Amino acid sequence: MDAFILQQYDEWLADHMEEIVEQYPSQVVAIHEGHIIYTGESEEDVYRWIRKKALTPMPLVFRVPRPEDLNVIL
Amino acid sequence: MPLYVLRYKRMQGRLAPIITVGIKLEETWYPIETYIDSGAAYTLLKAGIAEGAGFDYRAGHLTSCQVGDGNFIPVYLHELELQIGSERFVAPVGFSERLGVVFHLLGRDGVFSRFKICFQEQQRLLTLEM
Repeated sequence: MDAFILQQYDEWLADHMEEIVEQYPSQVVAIHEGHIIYTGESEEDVYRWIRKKALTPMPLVFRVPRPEDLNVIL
Repeated sequence: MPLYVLRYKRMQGRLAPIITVGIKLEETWYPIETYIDSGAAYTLLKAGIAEGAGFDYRAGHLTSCQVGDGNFIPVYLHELELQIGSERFVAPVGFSERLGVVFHLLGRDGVFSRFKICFQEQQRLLTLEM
């Protein structure tokens, strides 16, 4: 995929991860062109929605950690 | 030599070595968030992304992997294309329904042998050098 797109996602999340963790704990979010465009309960649901929309570039999807998840990994 | 400089991500006031990488599943590239884990022998992904992408991860080689609490979890191993920066390479990638951590893990095989990875926490930077 376009390396610039990867870099853009990485930089956007470096700027916004803290607020996403506060606002969307345990949800699966899809990020596209600097916005959260969809949230769902599972990655499968979110990717199904993305396929219907045929978005490009491919949105970045991940499950937002809850505070207790962070105690484990950080 | 290519050098990629990425920022740590801050969560709950703490820094985490999480980077965006690409993975190719069924001819489509997906950006994913991965936690750089030098304790993981190979890259481990939660099965949800494979299910979402329509990738038959259970067709891979079934093995098991010991996790932090001492238990073993089933893992389906594949050789898949990954991308860091503009570098594309093939590495072993495991999928598991029972991976208990919230992020995918970017493990050593095929990655740490390709990049010199420096954790510069004081500068809040990760550098990956080929």
